[in-house]
Amino acid sequence: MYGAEEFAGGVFHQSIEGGRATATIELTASGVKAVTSTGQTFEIRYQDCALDVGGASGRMVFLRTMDRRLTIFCEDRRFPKALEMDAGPEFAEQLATVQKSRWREGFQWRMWLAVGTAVCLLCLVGGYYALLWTAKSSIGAIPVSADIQIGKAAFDARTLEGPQVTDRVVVDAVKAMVARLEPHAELKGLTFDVYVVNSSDINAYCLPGGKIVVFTGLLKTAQSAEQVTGVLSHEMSHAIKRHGLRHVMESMGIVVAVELLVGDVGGLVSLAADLGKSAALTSYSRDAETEADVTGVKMLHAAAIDPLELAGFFELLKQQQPEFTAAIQWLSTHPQHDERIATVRGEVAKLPPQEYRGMEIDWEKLQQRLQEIGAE
Amino acid sequence: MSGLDFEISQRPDFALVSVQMQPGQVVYSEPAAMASMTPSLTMKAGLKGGWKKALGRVFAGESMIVNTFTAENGPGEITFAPGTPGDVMHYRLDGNSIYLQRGAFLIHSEGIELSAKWGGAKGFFSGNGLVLLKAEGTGDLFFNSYGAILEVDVTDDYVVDTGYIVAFEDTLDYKVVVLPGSRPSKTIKNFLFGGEGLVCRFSGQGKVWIQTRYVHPLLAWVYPFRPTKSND
Repeated sequence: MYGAEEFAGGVFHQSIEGGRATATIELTASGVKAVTSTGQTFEIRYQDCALDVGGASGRMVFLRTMDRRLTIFCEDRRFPKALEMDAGPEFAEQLATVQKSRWREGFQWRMWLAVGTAVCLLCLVGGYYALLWTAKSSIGAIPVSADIQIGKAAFDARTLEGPQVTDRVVVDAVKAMVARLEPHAELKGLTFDVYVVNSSDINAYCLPGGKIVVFTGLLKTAQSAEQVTGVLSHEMSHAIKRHGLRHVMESMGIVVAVELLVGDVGGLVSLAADLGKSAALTSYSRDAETEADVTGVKMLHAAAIDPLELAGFFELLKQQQPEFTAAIQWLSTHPQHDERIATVRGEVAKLPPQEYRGMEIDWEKLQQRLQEIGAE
Repeated sequence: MSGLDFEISQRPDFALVSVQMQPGQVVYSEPAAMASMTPSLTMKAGLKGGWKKALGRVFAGESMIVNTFTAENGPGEITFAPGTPGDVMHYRLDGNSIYLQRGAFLIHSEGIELSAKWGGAKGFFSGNGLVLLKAEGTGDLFFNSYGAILEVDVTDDYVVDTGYIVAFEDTLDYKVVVLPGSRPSKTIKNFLFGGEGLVCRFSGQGKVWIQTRYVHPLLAWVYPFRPTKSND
């Protein structure tokens, strides 16, 4: 092993011009030998040697004579190990610090890299959500015309769930219910259009902007015009509270969010058309459903219709549910009946007394006409 | 490798380096350092050592660009002048390395590599930006100061205000510390009002070059006299 390896290093000694010179270092059987480029040779025996680790890098190994007149130093990566093997274990502890320092530097470097990457990722993700949040919270600044455009795009994109009913008696009855509620909508500028669809589903929905679709199944199941009006108040509340617009915003990509912030609703409209196809536009969160119930109750109250009719309809569904498997469609995204009934009752209790007036609709005639036109 | 044939004149306050270049010889300098040259030399600007090294130089207060002067068409003479009034020091690297303070690099010959060396967080916040420039290899290196340069042979411990360090040898251990002797409660006061605070403590054996002036106090002194825009 001795003499097998040479290391680049240096020597400090007063006999050298300038006190310092670079040298080739060799480990011999008895000690450390350094030969400068001018041929001067220096040697320190292992037993007379003091070892230091330092230098600007913190990894330079200094070997000194006890009187400190001669110093041989080396920064070669292989040097500490070779020295430990040749000089014996007495330097092991100090030499270990060289390894540790290398390791620490490597670790620190990796740590900074990891921290940097994490911070970058956080900024990206945070920025994304901040932008989405900004877009969502700026909902009030978006004109109602955006809702109307979205609703129209969604309506055009989807096919009605059954043949449209054009019978005047049926359509006018539903229109009369909507007309009674419309003046009490807290969001102005919406135009509520009514479409009646011949389908056994006990369902109704309202697209953003105000397009209302009512299924004949709902009209046949309900026990009074007030109950249907109650359901309509709930559905209209989704449009009034702009749940559809919010839903589109939650589903939209960053590009649409940016577009929206600069006032371009084109992206939203095309996204709404996509969502409209899958009926995802009218599937709202439970919080949105509860909000629609609360808003619906207020609207009914303002329109002098007993809001408990809405609770009555829920009770009806609750009792008859086993027989109406189709009802599940309307219920799947809605909170439990008991919860909703409690919400409606709780809201009604908060309202000031009101003299309720029934709907001026001939319920018997409506049911008869539904039979006549073969409504499912 | 034979060294450069050079002369440093006008020392110590307005030092100028002139190099006699042999055909084919190359010198690298910081941008705008060249003062004069014979037409037999050609200059090329570029990101020497790739973008990583170039970026490193930026962190160490140097330019990304390094100018390369080559004696392509026969021998010639070239002179270099640093940006600040002050001295220029020559150092012959012989396989070892040397650390330079921000902006201290002037020129070097072939065989030397420059890279950035992080001087620790304290140094970074000290305002002197102790990201050091490390020069290593074999060849001639010239660095400049603001004011004259003193060469100090450190054999034990030595303390230098971070603003006055020009360069130091690799055999020296360095730590950026709070001025020794100041009590912790006084440290902030010293740092803010005393103009002293963070210093570099060298230990071990090797050379440190310090400059006799520091540019920040001069700037602070000049500041009140600067012309200001008036609304009149």
